[in-house]
Amino acid sequence: MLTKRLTDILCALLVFLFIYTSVSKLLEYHTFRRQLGQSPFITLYAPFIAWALPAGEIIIAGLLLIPRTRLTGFYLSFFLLCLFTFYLAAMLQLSYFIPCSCGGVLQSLSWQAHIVFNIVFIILSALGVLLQIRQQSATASI
Amino acid sequence: MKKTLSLGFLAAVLAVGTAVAGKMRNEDPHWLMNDNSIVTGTANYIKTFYCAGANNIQCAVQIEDPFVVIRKS
Repeated sequence: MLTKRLTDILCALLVFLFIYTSVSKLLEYHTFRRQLGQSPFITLYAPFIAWALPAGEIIIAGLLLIPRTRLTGFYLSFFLLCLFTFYLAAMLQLSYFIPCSCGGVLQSLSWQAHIVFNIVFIILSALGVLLQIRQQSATASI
Repeated sequence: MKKTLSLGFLAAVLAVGTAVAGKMRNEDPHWLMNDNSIVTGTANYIKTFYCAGANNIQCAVQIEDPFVVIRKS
């Protein structure tokens, strides 16, 4: 019961994060696309990423909402957040010019704070994967 | 299952509401540019559209709070 409740809370937190950031990006689509275009690593792919990233975030939120696909949702959240964090770390290490393409209030975080924020959510996603596997195996054994 | 779905959906609805409300409530600050022109927009917008480049030289100062400075190359 506690495992299920914890999984629900983790799921709700991740859904909030992904929906909030994707809607914020879509509401300021032109700024977001321009920022991506200025980013040194992904300039070529900016037009594709500008719509694929918010769409991907919404799909992951959808997967998290449906109990049957929740484990996939947690895995994809973990993967996407790791990808963001590697990108941020690479930007900080290798680039002098750092445009912020974050959604909503997250753009007011410093880059270091952003990395810490991401790491917290990576841990929450990993915890979600473990709890979901545990919950599924408990359900299967009944 | 219903409870789970409702908690997740509540989070999703709240997220959409927060994002839209944040966008609507945002009153953009004014910026004094290097050529003495005044431009309105979020710090992110000014950095992206007017001050793109490495963060070396001062490019814009926020009029409402002069300690907020945007730099470019």
